[in-house]
Amino acid sequence: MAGRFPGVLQRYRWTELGLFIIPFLLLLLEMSQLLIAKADPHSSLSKSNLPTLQGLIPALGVIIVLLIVNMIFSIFFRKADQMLLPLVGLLSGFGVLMATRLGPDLTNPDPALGSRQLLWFLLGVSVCVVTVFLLRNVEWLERYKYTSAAFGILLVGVTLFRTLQVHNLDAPGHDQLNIGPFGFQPSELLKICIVIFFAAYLSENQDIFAAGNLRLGPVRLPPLRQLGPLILMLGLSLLLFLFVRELGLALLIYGIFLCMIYLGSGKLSYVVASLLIFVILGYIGYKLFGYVRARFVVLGVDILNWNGASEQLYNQPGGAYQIVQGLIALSSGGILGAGLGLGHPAGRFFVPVVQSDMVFTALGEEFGLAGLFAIIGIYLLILYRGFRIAVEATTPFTQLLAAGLTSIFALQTLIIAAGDMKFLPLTGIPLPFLSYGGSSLLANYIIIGILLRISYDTALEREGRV
Amino acid sequence: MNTINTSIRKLATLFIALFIALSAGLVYWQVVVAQQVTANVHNSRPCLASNAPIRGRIFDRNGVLLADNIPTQGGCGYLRRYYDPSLAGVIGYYISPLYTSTGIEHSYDAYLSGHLGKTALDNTINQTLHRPAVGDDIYLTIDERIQRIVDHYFDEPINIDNNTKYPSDRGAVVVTDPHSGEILAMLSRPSFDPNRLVSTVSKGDLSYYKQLVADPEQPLLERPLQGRYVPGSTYKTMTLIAGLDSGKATLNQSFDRQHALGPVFLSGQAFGPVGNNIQGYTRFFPVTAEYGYAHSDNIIFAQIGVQTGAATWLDYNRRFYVGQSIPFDLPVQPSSVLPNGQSSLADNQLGADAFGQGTDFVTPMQMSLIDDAVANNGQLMQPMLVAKIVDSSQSPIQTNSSQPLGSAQMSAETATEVRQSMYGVVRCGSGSVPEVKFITSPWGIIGKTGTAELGNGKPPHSWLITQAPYSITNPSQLPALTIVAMKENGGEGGSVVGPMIADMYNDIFTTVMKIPAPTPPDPNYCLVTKLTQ
Repeated sequence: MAGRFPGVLQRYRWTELGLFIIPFLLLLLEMSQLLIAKADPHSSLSKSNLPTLQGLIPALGVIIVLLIVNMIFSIFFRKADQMLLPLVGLLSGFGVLMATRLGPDLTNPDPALGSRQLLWFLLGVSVCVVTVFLLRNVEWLERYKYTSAAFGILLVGVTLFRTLQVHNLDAPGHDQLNIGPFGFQPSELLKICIVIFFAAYLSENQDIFAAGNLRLGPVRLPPLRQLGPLILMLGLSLLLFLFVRELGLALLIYGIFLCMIYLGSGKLSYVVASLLIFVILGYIGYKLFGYVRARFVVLGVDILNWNGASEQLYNQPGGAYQIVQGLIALSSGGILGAGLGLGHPAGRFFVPVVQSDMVFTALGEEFGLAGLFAIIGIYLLILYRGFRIAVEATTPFTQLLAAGLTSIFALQTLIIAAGDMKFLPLTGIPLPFLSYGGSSLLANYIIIGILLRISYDTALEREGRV
Repeated sequence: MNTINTSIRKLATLFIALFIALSAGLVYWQVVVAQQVTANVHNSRPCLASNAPIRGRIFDRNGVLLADNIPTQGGCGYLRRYYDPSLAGVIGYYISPLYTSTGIEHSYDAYLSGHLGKTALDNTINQTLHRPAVGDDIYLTIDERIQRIVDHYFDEPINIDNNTKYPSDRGAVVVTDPHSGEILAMLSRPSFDPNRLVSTVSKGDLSYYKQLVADPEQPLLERPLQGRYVPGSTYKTMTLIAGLDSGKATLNQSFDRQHALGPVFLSGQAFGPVGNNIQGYTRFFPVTAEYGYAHSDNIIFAQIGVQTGAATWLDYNRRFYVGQSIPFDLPVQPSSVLPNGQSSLADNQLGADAFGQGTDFVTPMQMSLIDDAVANNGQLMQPMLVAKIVDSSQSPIQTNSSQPLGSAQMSAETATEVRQSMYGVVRCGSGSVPEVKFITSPWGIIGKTGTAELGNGKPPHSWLITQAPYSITNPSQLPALTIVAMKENGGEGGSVVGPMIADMYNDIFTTVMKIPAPTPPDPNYCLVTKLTQ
């Protein structure tokens, strides 16, 4: 290890450092904008709650944390991907800024929201670094696929247990696991467990899946012995989460399943078959669970021609209030947006719970269409880097793992954005890196850690070969 | 390995396609239908205190705050707050652009919401800079001190006997400066609580509004401007002006017993002896027209009207805007003296109209104008309620100066004679009874009483048109103030309305205007002039 230090300047991750410049400037700019907006007597920012002196702490904190990570990686993992951290760093930075900006304006003002998100970010990045350090061998994950599955089932069990204790299933955060002062959502780790299990299982049985020797009419399916564990795992997660009423998570898990099946087999027929099953399951869920029906009924609210039926949907408990207010916020932003701190994305009479599920609309109001396009662009770049890491990875398992984990980001973003735009039922799924929430941020940084480690291993192996 | 790479590429392509669809969705919501969505009733952004236009405030002539805005609790933008409910009818109420407003709030809405002139330009800039629009402030001619005095004394108790005096809490008072036309106070009773109205209706609760509309006492009616009443004997002043100024009558014109007590026949209709008002105490005849005015003899005034002639009498009515809209800052219901569809009057109709019964229906504002012209020596000034309009930085946008309303309604000599006749009323005639409290007032109050008979057994409306201070020894000195007051179905004008007017003058002169009382009158005036027998 000592031999690494002398050449550190030559081997420094200059590309990453260079790529950090624009995100840092953006963060400082937006933080200053927030402070200036605060001075405007007509801004919606709550003056009493947003501290003046500590005003720059969120932006500076993010910048310092990222610089330290840049340094650590330069020393220990020089060859890990250099684009991922600037991209997720920028998004997380904006997440911290939005939490700082929204916290005091919430229906129940929470001036510490930004500080806590910064803390979560710090923890997340630490977890990311630890993940990269611990995963000395990614193949190690492959060996523990059943452990991963068991851990996943345990998480589901814990969530279920919590749910049984809570009577009000419509209350937000009823699926949280309270560890210390912070609520922790087991579902965030579950999605990683599932990807690890599927990646391992599919890579192990790749040939069998590719062959597909169980015929069901025109559709060729893999043999039941191989299909069994997959269906079991999937069915368990799905049923439980339908029971826990996390429609979004069910969607996400099924989406991951579809992606993994397709990646592992390369057969569209499997996807079609799974989609059929999904439609059937969805229909059963729709028939069985009133809350699923309610979610779909809300989609019918007519915003453009507001009428009595819209009004009724708007006013009923758990109705269209949140989604309508979110869309009004989104539309208020227009092309250029109101400017950070100058819109009214949060609070009573606006979007009540904006910091987690609806942060997309808050961003839309204050940064406008232009800002959301930029954010979508950043997500696409993250996808590009993630899939690139997957393509370059050397074993089927790491390829499936990297691609599966990257798909999580894509699916989550699509599901929650489509929900906020009333294209899908609105569900409790955080927008990766931008929504407020510790467990989500931690899980996402674990994913980033795994991706970075895979890219590092790939680079080492290629270098070794050369 | 190749399979996985191909799958990854295909999956990536799918995600890119989905993200493009997402972007298209954003274009839809943020550009294509953005206008329609933001126009939604549940969009609170235009309602926010920080976004909502700040309506101009309303002050009295001395800068006493009468109306401003408070941020609503859980409603839309600001809510109007009113500081003097007795001005509810004058200032009116403003709830939101969605509701009809009234009063000054309505007629000066363009100024108050900042939609006019330079303020409108400033507000365009404000809008660009994410700042709320600010309206212009309005200063009324109302003197809040006088308004409070008037409001206070309206409720002054009198001895109700249910014969000549009846209980009534309905009525109107108009206090003006006759030399400028400025309205100093205006009261309408019963009134309503504008703050309660605004706060309930803005929350969608129409119960108070409906209660006000259904109330048989009509609290939403601004009586001084919108209430039309039989004027009774106060309208003899119009006839006296017409007769004297046209030269068809003089104060000294004498009426013998027959013509003073009646009956006299006009177009075949008998006038008197009922309603001559003087039979009980008048022993010596002939009596003068001035005597008839002082003691409110209907028979004499029917004859003065007829001898003036319908054309001339109606011409003088027109000079005071009877039958027309009075140019004013608030809409005034036109008064009328003609039966429906008629353009002239037969002698019997004119006779009844000449002493204030017949087909006379006038607003208290109309009576105030007649009173004012007399007090201003014949020239009526345009009535004013808005003194000036200033922008948010208090620089004037419009300053209203007093101006004459048309050419002089009567000669100075006529006006002087009418004031002298009004002095006779208070000193020697119907206004001289101690109950009216004018005779004991040091402030030289003069005026004309009116007891408007309504028939059908209803108690008559009680009227007084007054001016002060007046000194018979210095008749060219014009009274500083006029007060016109009436109570619906209150009974005898003088004794019902007189006491409160006497107290109003006393308080206004001593605490607000701080002027010295005129020289005490000659105690023998009535005997010398033979206005008392």
